[in-house]
Amino acid sequence: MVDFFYFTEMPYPEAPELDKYPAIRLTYPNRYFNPEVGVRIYREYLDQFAWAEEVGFDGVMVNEHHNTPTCLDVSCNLSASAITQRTRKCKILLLGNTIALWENPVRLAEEVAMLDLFSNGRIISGFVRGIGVEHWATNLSPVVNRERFEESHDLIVRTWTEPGPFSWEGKHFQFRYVNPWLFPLQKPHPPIWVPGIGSEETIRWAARHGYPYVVIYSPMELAEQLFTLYRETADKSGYATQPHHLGYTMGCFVGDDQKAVERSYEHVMFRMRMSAKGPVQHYAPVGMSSRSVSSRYSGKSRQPSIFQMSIDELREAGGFIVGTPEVVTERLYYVIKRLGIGHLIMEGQFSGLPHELAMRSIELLGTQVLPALRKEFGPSEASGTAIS
Amino acid sequence: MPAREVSRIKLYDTEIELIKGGTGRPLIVFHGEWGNPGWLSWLDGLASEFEIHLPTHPGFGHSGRHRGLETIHDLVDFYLDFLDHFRFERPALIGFSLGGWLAAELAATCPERIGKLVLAAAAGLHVEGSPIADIFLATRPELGALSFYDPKSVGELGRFCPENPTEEENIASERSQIMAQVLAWKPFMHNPKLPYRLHRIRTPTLIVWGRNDATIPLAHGEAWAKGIAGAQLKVIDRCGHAPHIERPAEFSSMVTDFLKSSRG
Repeated sequence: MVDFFYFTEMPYPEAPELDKYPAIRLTYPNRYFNPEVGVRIYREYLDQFAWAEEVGFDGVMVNEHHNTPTCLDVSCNLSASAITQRTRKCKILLLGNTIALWENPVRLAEEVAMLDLFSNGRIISGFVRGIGVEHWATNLSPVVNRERFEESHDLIVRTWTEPGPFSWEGKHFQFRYVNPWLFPLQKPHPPIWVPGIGSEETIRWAARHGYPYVVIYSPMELAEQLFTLYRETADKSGYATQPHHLGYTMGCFVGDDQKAVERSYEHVMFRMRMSAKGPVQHYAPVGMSSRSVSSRYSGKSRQPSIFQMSIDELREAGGFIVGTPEVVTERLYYVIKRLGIGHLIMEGQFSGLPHELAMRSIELLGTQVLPALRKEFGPSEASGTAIS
Repeated sequence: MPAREVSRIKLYDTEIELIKGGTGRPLIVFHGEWGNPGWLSWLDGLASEFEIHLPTHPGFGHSGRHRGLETIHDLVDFYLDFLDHFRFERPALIGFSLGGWLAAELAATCPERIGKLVLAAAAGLHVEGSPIADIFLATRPELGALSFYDPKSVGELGRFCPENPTEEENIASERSQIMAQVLAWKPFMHNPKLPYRLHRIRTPTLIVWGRNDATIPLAHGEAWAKGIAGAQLKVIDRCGHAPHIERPAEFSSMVTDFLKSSRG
């Protein structure tokens, strides 16, 4: 059983004169932003999410980043809020809230509860550690990220599940009266998912809690290693890993024919080459993860980065698949089989890909690719339990 | 080269590394954000008159740290214990960059216990219009440019950033950066309340700055000199953020003259 999510970071369609700047994030000047373009593309992106539900996706995913044209979604709760009003039955996956960077976890618990009520129980509440550069965008030391992540998580779950009022006197957060009036609809609380790009502590933490772990933009070979670590930790925690514990996010574009497919290439390559432009500290700052993880980024990389690959290499390695419905179906079948995942998240809009191409790609995925995959893997769990 | 010893000392819950060399009056040197570079040549000329102590701050390099040590003020408390432990008689205190900030905070906390104070390219103040460079975001080559006027001319560059560091050196320098981030991420490299405490520093004070300091601009040196009564500012030409490494002879004689003068 596999469920399928449509995802876009809501990129700004262009990054003019990027070659003049060392990084696309943090310091790339915001004078290139045009709010009128913002109005247009937010509307297009909401149309894409709604369309994804209509053509057969089980869910949609939203995320957030800051100070970057690669992601205009600066609050996954805000975008999810809009999506709750544009969709009726699909799951809405927040992947998610950067809980270490939030000053007020109780407020966050309230907002996600509100979303769960808005959506009639369709929220999946991902908690993310964030990429390194967010620590500069929010001015929080990466050194305290993990401690704050774990404490914030504990407080949010307790806020959702324990009758108030109670007090919380933690190391990073203190509240004398935790007693929000509203609870989520889902019991005991909305599902919690955790994404990762390789931090071993995060995988072990997710596995110990039994939370689904979603590998973001990594070659299948690395994803397999991460999933092995998850399975080992789950075994030690006394349960066997099921497909629904494992998710995989990759870029995906489907065109009617080779000509349409090729129209996506420049946008795919921008997504893969330029959206990560910047110093290593933007992704792996000192102190955010253990040394075993950080040394992976400091030149002794065991895995080739998918951000250096060609379209053909990406298809083989697994970070991105571009093609006609037949090509994409075959490849996604292989990805799901090989990784043993229960959730496949497809990023389908990137770096100025024209709206009509994105809409057509979503349609081809929903009407041709997903039905073919469901024939092999069975109907998805998410669509079967959705409350409308 | 003067004799020196490396030891570990434990004060309550914290065990730190301490390098000691020279004989004479006590002199304590506070290293900066990148950790303890050890005995450098600028100290050679001082070793015949001073007993020089080079502690590695808690959390830096191979020094331990308990969970309660998170701010510059916590380190000030640690060094109050340190002064008690050694029963120093009004030692001289020299601090570089983040270590200069720490030295100033300590001198403002217990002015009667510090004989003389040298602040070299000290962090600690916010000067509007002259921000401190984002050293935690800088890449290795950028750090070279931020630290030195002319990195190629620096004889002891390898001590500051070894070309082929061992895994042990990597771990130590990563620990140092982590601790520096714990202390100085936000507010970045300064204490907004420090200007209101500077009047407490009654210790004779020398401020030393590289004219070309790209990490902490010279305007900060001027702000220190203005904020500490009687402080004198000396500026070294063609010199960046680490005058003791880039201009060791000049820096050493400047400090020696100040420490040996009758003031204080």
